[in-house]
Amino acid sequence: MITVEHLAKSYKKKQAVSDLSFKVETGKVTGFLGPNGAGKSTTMRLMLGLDTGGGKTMFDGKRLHEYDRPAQMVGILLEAKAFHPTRKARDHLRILADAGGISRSRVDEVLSEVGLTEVAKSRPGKFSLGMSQRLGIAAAILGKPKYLMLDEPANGLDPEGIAWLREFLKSYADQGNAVFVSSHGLSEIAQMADNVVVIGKGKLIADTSITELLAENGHTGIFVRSPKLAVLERALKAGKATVTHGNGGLRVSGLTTDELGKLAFESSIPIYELSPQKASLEEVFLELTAGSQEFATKKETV
Amino acid sequence: MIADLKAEFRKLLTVRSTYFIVIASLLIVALFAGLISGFKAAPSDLHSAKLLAEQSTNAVVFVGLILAFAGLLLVGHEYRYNTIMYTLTATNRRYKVLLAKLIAVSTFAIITSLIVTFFSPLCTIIGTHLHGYTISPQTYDYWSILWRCLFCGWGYALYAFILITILRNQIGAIVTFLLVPLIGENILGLLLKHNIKYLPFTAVQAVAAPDNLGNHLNAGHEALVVLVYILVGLVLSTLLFIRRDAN
Repeated sequence: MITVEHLAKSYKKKQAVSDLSFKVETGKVTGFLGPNGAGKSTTMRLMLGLDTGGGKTMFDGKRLHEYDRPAQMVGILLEAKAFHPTRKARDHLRILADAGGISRSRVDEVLSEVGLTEVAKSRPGKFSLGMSQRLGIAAAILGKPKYLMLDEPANGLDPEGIAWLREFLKSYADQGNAVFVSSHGLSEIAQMADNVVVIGKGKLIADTSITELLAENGHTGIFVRSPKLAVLERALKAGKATVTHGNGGLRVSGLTTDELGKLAFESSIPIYELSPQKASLEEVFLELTAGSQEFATKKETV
Repeated sequence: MIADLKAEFRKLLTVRSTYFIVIASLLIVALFAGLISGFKAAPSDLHSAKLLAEQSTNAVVFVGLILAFAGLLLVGHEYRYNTIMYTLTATNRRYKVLLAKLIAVSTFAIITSLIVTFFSPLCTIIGTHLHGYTISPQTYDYWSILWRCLFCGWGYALYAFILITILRNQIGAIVTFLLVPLIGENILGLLLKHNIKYLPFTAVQAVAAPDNLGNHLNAGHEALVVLVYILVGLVLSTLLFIRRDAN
């Protein structure tokens, strides 16, 4: 388990990260969410000891630099294009293998895993963003680390690459490892993450499982369409349900779909559509981080 | 530490700039020592008993500055391409990384300076022979020339290394590294006069070629001046390297 305790970092007068504490569990993928400028990258750098600041991060009870081979404990991808553009991809990984005390045979293994074997001898300066990400992922998994920390790993990947990454990270976590991944792709996080840490303006907003996050913060309900909306609305309100109008139908909360169906049947109201509505991670995220955006767009009124 | 060393040597040897710097340096030596001082030399110049010794020391004083760029780029590329985050995450002590880089840079500087030290007079000998000249008997104090040339090449490399470690900006360090010896110290020399011998680049050049500049300490004393600069620079760069954010 990664235990983050009271991380703090300030740049001159700006507090980038403030008293941030959370945990990253093994066997799970933990999504790390926050608006632009929320302090996600800074947090990751603080966790790795790349930046100096307050607080501490423990990896299985020890600081990262207390391990003899930190590269075999944590694999990182903080920036897609973090390589020398004219150094061959294989040489780039060999250097990381040398530095991390990792067997050189792993270099070809990881190149094969990320699908870059054919360009192993190419200079990555001309790689697309997607290929660069794959090289970065290869670097991260080189030492078969227990912990993976990835900053926007899906950026630039094609749909096949995103699907591969999702399955790869889930299976990596299933092997008893922990994956800590930041992303703006909320649907991706929703599909792959078990837990989520949400921050805004450097402060913790939520540290919970995706299921709990959606249950506690999302507006769930039922959408129903009928040619007799007014009659249905009266019947629902009499049944103590909360009703709002929208999209040519009613949004109902306080009843199950079974109860609503029964009520409509008993009132002889025809139903054209009856569907449970769940809040998306995007909706919950936007609600949670409202007011925490560092660089929010200005909404124009017409 | 061995892991860090292996990584640093591999970094140095897997970029084209390292080979470009070495080849360019050797071509410059061949041009000046072989063509200008050899093939096209005035016959009167060939009477000096120190001709070949001067070819060694002058070559290192000149191309040592170019060779030092390999070490500067070893550190500069890390920050420019942000691979420093991998480097610092892979090690459990930052000072090990700095020490490994220092050893790699020093080894490279000493080996290339050694090559230049003997390649330059060789070019002159070949140049003069091709032209049909005969060089007068030479005084060539191998050990003195060798240590002075190697020290000069190493000194340049360490200056460049310290500069980039402190500045962490590749362009800034390159410009500073060129401007200080070529312009800065010459201007300062007008003010300092005899005390110019205490300026870092003047001192390191005087170690290799004490006779060139006049009014200098002997090579050993100039080497001590250089060592003081290097020691202070290394202490400062180590403190900054360990304490600063890695970007």
